[in-house]
Amino acid sequence: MIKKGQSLPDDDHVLRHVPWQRLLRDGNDKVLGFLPQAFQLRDGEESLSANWLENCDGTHSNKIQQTVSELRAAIKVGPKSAFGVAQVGKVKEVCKSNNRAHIRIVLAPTKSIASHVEIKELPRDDIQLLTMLATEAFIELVHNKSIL
Amino acid sequence: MTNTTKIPIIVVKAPIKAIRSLGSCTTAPGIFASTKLGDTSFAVRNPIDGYTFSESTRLYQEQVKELTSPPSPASLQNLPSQKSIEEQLFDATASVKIMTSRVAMHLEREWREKLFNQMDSLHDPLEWMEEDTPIEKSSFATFLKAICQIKPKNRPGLGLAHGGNLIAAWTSGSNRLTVEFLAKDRVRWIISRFRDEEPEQYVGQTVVSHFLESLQPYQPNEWFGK
Repeated sequence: MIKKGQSLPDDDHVLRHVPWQRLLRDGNDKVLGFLPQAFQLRDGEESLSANWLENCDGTHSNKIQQTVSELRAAIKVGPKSAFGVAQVGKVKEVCKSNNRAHIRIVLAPTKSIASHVEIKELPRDDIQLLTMLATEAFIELVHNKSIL
Repeated sequence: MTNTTKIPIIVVKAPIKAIRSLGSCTTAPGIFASTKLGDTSFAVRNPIDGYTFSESTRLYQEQVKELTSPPSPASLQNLPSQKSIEEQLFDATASVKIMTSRVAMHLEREWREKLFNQMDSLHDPLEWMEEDTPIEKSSFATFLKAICQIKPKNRPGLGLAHGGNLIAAWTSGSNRLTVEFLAKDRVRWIISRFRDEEPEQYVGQTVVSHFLESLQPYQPNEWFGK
């Protein structure tokens, strides 16, 4: 069992909540993916928040459903927002490419979110890296409204 | 704009003799460093505000501050923190709509209406994250200049960065052009393409007047549809 502060295995998955404002859309508001800014740290943020899917049991979709339920109980999740899912190893590989960043993805549970993880050492304003995360790592998009 | 330095003024009620002796303790022109008779802990320089006062002096200072220029009710109404999130979002969208109306002659009516809908959608209170900043007028002004210059046939999808910068995205299959509109007429763009299933990116930052020119090597018609 992974403990607080330990890194997640490469084969495991992380899920990140992406608000409506940072979803990539066409001119008719059809959602197509994620904007690079969906993975940008806010001012003052030291790490990017995400959630560890394997903290829950069951199939991949069961894990997503349980993790989203946990998030909905703890934070505001807008009806039109979505979730990006990525394999831990892929996120690290994308960040390592061209020697851009050596990130760590560690378990950092909070009182209300047991699955909370922190993506550490992510550069704050490397727009190319953020685009790579949006297009190559977080390639699974789950609409909030698609989850009961 | 004039630069002013706030100097605390401390009112002293004391016999004239005491005031005279206080005058000799002046540590800067016009500043008396102590207000209480018998108080010998006069001003000591500290690196933050220049001077440190005794506890009793600080209390006087606080009381004087409370008496001077209380904020008027009208100015209180203008403080953003006093407004609900819904009001702040409404104000933000209203101001960018007014800005758009000033260049209405450069935009087709349908384009304008769609833009207004997109602005409303981006500032939908149901979807709003409290930590975010509504659209920055300076970012929107840069966007308007870019759109009036490029006159794209294809409308972009719009997004908003945490700090209120507007983002426009044009997509063509799995290829995309994402542009962040910054203050002072600057734009930051990134093209993400897949060539033979291999991803590649091109990044640039320029002023809005050179934006289209900087995209020329990357066939901008793919995005703008001209």
